[in-house]
Amino acid sequence: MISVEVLCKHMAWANQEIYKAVQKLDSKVLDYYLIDPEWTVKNIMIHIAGASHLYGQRLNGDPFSKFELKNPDSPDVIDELLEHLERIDTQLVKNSNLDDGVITFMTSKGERSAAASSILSQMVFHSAEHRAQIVAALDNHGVRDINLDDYDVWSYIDNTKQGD
Amino acid sequence: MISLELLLKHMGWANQEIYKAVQKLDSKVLDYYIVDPEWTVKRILIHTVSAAHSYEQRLAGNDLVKLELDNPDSHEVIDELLKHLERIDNDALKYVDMEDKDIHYVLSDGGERTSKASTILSQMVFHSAEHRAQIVAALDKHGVRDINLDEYSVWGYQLKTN
Repeated sequence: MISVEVLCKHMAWANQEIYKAVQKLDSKVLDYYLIDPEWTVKNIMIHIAGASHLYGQRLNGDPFSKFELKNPDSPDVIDELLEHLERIDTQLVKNSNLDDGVITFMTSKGERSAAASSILSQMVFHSAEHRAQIVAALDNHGVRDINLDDYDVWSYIDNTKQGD
Repeated sequence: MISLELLLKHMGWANQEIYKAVQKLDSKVLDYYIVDPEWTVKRILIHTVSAAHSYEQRLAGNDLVKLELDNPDSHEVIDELLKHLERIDNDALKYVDMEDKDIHYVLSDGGERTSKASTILSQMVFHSAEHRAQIVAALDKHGVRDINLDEYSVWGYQLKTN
């Protein structure tokens, strides 16, 4: 059977690489957006990590805890997000080897249940989609430093020498 | 071990839903782009399918045959792409139960490469998700906000298909 392990490992790598690539740019890019001023580059970056934090909690069977940041309004938030993502994504890779079963968890709307495969698949999909939106917002302002082709699964395999 | 099956099923569903949603819009949206005029909505729609076609050929062990379209310059290309996607995405699901073996194949530039089946299937899922997001971003940029990506998440797939 083909598992989600490669996509989980790729997600962890791509999250780190793209966040670090954004960190190298002028901090003003954090306020860039495509069309909706609510969804700035910074808000998307926080949203990805915040959602992953929740998905990770559910998979780990941890009690609900809110995603808190020390410096949400500063460019330094990227350092915090990188640390959170490393913690969350490392655990996620371990969870890709779980047996698929139903997990019950608390949400802001009460108790919910979902298959481990649903939570894990949503987590992988969600971060991929939003990373593309980060780069779209940068592109829209003429900041073309990040080429998404450099962060696909082929690049992950080539750059991390996974022996493909 | 968690299988890739759900993400492959979600990909098949989301491809159909997003392509059909674009099809309902004015045909002029096919020429929209974010910043690079080479990458119009139509070009991304075609590229996503063409890449999926080549990934599926590799998984099947077939020689590379380029995806040919009858009407690449017409709005009707979306009908063609939907049919190709249905075929490709259904075929991709067959490989989820296979052994994660090495697959040797020839690239479009004539080079050769060997990849695990898991790498090819994972790239297929990732590639289409990323480009669907770019299609919607190009529409959004032009104020066409008809497609809300939140409705096409894995949660969205499970709610709509259960």
